[in-house]
Amino acid sequence: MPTPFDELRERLLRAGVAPRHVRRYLAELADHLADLTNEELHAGRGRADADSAALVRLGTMEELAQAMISRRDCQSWCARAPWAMFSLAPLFSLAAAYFGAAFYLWCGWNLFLSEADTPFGVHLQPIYGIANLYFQAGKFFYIVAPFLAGWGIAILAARQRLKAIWPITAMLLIAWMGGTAQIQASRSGVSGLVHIRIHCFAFGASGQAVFESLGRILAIFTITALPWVIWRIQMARSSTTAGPSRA
Amino acid sequence: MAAREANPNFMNGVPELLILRLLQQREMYGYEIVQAIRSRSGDVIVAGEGVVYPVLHALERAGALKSRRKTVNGRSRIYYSVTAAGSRRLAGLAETWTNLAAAIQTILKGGRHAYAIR
Repeated sequence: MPTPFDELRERLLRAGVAPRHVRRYLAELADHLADLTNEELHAGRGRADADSAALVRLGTMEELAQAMISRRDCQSWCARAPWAMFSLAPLFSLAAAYFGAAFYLWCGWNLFLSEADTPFGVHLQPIYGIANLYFQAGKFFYIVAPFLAGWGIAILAARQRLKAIWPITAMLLIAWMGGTAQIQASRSGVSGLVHIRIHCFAFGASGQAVFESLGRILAIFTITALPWVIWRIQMARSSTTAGPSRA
Repeated sequence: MAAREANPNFMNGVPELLILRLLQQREMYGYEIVQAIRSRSGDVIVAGEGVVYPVLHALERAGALKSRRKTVNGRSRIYYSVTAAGSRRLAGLAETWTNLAAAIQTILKGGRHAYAIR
């Protein structure tokens, strides 16, 4: 059942007001409306009259919306700088996650495989126990990082009711970066120092490598975008069935 | 002749001034503030009551107000009170508005005010 402020909430979020400000504003308006309704009831009005009189006194949706929208300091960063929030921020956050994964690998390599030339592939001594758990956990984090970044973008976009262009751009960038990411680890023959490199955005030289990268990109994009697309469809359906709730 | 700042909007700062003045006396929540403005202005200043909250939030972010959640009679409300920065802001706004009101009064009476509108 729609509340008196559903339409106001949608309007404020679409106008770029930060969700935390919208939440607090609507909570205070709901309290205020309850006080006004009580006042009207005590003045001798019937329930229906008291409700409508209280809504009139609270202000029209236009007044209430404009009062908040005109405050630029209430705008979220998603609305102020969407190009940064949905292009630079996801790439930097995924890059930071990969840097963390590389550091984690470097620690495990030094800790459990100090004699090996590489932490990848088949080793002379199979890895069991804590070492195995350690590397599996690192691998899991490396694989899920782009999905987490994509879902984070989806949540941001859904909370702010953003146009599709921004989250789709961000998810494509994340999918491209995640689908083409490759970690290379080697040990220098002379000094024995370990080197870990992460390559992103470049497709492999062979046709099969390109095909595999494209497959990963498609998989990441589909899995990250799907919950957001479903949410959009549900929102569109509910808005068509509910109709306007506050004059 | 000294340069003077233009006042682009006469109503600029009025809600802030009234809210800061009321809250200087005691802490209040939104509904109380609006009722106090209505009663003390003799119902002259009447607007959509809900529009007071964006002003309160802006003043809080500017450091002029602080808020706390308080439960009274089983209802949780957000109470606002003035900070030291808010008191200074109130003093500045009050001075500006006193001068402005005096200048407007003088013009309405056909005379010339000692201070130009700042």
